[in-house]
Amino acid sequence: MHDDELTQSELEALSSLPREARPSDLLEERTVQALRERGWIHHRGALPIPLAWSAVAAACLVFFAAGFAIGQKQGHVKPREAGIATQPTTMTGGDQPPARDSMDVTLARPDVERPSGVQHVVWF
Amino acid sequence: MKNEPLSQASDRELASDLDRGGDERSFRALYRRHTPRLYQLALRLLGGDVRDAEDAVQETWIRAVEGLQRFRWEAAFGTWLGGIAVNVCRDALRRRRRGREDPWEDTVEVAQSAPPAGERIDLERAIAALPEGYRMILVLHDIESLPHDAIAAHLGISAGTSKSQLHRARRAVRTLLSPPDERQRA
Repeated sequence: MHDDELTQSELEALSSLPREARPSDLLEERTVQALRERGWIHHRGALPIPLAWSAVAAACLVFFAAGFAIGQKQGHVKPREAGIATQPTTMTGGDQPPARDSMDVTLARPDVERPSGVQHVVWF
Repeated sequence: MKNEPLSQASDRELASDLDRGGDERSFRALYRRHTPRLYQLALRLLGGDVRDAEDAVQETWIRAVEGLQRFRWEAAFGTWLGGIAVNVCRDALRRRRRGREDPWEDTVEVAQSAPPAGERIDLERAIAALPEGYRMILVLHDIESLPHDAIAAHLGISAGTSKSQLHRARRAVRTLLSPPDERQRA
């Protein structure tokens, strides 16, 4: 027999060697952890990153819309309902803007009784 | 993948779920299906070092998951994984032998890693006792049934070198398996 050929008993010995072996259970957890850290796999039940970002974006949108609606509702209280007299915007003459002291500053004057429900009115 | 148990899903279905959404359960199913074979291969290539073999299996899975999109499914998934494992083990051996002589050189002596004289050993231990270069080629050719050109491509050597190293590896194993008195004469 040629020196390079395997004998029948050698072939049998080689084919009888086990093809599989069981590593420690820790290896699976270690490998999963390494892949999680690199972002390749996600916790069981956890959303994948694109879906998670979509969910966050949707939540932000709902939150913003709710805030906007509440703000609109509260900011839309009619002055008359609040007991505030409408300020005249008539010009004192020509196209010139009225002098501040020519405007009706009833609400800002301390000697004038304020309508109920209005605590502070500030002119700038 | 539909509502079938993961253990019955094909490698391709599991890999697709893993690649698309990073599904951990799909990864675990693939891991449990293929790791025993990968681990045995790594254990043999690395001379029976359990710690190195476990590191090699972990690195194999990391490289496989990272490269999953590039896998074209022209070969079996297990064969592809085995190829990655061989590369990982080759890299590990390269790191191990830094500063040592080239394992593909003819000057490597079997006696360096032979068991003490007077001790008869089994085939598995004889393979583990081979020099790294011999061991890799013998494991890949005689146990994993890879052809010389595939071995040459994996190890970055010529097919001729693979053949000559296999010849020496077989001779070395025969020497290691022979009775101690014959071994000493060899």
